[in-house]
Amino acid sequence: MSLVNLANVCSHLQNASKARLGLTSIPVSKLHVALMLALQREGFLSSVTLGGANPPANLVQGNPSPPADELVAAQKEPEPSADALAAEPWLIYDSRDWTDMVRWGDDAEQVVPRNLARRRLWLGLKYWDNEPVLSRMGLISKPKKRVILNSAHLQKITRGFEANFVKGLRRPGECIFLNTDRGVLESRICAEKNIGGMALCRVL
Amino acid sequence: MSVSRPAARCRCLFSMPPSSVPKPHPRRTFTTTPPLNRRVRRGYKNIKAEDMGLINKAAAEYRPYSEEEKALLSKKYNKEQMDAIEAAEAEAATILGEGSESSSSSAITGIDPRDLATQAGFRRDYLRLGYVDDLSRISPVLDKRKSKEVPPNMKTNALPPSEEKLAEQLGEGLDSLLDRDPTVQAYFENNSEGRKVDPSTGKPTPETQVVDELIQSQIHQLERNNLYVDPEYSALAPDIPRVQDPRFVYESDEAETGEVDPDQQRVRRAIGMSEADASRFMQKVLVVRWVANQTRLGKVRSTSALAVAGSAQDGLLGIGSGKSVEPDQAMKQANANALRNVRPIPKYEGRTIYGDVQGKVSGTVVQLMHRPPGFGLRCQHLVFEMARAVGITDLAARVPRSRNKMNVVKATYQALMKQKLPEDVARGRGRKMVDVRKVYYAGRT
Repeated sequence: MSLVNLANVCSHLQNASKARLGLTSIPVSKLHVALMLALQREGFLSSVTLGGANPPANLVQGNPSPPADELVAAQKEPEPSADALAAEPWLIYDSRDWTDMVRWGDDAEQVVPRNLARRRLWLGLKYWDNEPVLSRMGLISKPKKRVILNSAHLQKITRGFEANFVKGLRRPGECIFLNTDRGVLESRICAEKNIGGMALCRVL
Repeated sequence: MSVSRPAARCRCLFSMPPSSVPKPHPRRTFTTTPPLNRRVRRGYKNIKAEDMGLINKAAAEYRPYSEEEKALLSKKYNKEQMDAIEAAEAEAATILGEGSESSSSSAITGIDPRDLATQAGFRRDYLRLGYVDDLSRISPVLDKRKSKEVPPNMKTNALPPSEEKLAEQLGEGLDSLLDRDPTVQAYFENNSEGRKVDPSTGKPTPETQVVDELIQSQIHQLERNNLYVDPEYSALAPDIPRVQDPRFVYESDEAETGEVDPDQQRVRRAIGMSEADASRFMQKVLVVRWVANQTRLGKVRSTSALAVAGSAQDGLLGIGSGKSVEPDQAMKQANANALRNVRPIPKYEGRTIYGDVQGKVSGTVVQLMHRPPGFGLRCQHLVFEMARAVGITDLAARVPRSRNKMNVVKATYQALMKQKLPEDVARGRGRKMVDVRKVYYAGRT
């Protein structure tokens, strides 16, 4: 679990909000996916979609990318002939560089790169009253110092008091997300369920 | 050994023939970040929220009004306004239906819908309003007073009193005249049977003439008074109908309070604030500085003042500065500007602020923190005065850096204006939010 990457994601989302971007992408990891889905659940993000280097077609108005059929077919190499196989039997192995696109999920239009490292998580940002909904996001745990909060800490923090050197939630709508054994959860939900975990980031 | 020897060796060692390709200067890189030209560029352009229609919703869709909608509109708008709406509709239909070429030839009566789509929306410029307002209503504090509509000639609008009314009033007037004037008293005592007339000439006697004149003047007086004072007939009557609107300033109100500062009165009138409204405002000069402009002729001294004006009842607060050679003039100016600049400040439960906020002006940082009921104002004097003026009773503040008085006041004002309301946060996220006392955006989840 790399908190360095998460720190980059936090900064990137802040920057994207300041630049008034409608759609942006981050690298994919299990932690990122879980956290982004938690953010979406809290209403900070409008959409979380898996995609490649270019934005998914269904998210962009005007649809600049070609349809999924073309994307998948264009990458496909022809099957080697029997003669060719006899001469060079290793052609039976896939010689592609894994940059081709494959279909993803139930949506017929959604395609993602076959190469996992080339996948990106595409996030829809929200704006209200000319202000970004997600304006500030920063790490609580640091790569060198993980901060574990138990339920007693969280009950104090959610009521606005400081606990375990973590400042309380003292602004309207401020959230802390924690990595718990039941997934990434918001601090108030953790306090309600009486569970603790590693504090990931504070979002406002 | 010749002195030229070392020079020769030098030439031998250092004067190498220059290579054809100039070598780049070997420079140690202090950063791992690649230079701009080597960075990998993204394959797609930024997808702006504005282009996705997330910010400017006005550009979304235009469809013509249906007949039912027009019927509803005509109930609200008068004929001229309906004509304007129709013209705009026709214009839109021409442009959307036939293209721009044909529309340019016809007479343009409405706004081009493309202009509306590209230009309408929230302002983002420097001079935009700091609050949401469609400017459809006149706010007594924020807007200038609309000039009162006055009939062309007030006197012609005043009806003359009826004869019975006049007779009744004349009787009352004569009674009072009898009480007041000893000559008239004596006259009526001596001539109880009636008006005395000289029998030889048929004209009133001299003493009758005096009394007649007195009575005539009494009648004149009554007529004059009736025109203006009698509330039933006067066009100038201030009490009927008595409009409960701060834009209307009644002279009689101001007369009651006794001596009025003409400067303050002028300022109040300019803002359109009545005496009663102004009396709710607490005004205080917080900072006074004596400044000097050093010229060839010596120091030219003057005074600069910063004042706050706030109303606890209305939750309004303003700051204003004034500069003048005379100190009291500067303070007056500051007070007037403060009153002019008042803006609404949100208050949580009418006693503290929504969330912790921070304001920064130059090197001064002011942190304001909300506190539970009964906490009091535990903050430094400038913040205290501003909180007191706007009616905040529970607040803590910290000024960790520079404590320049003028900037502290400005930063506090900025912080108070920066409060984010839970209702807005909940609407932005599209989620219901609940705090201990209230549910926000309750209709939707």
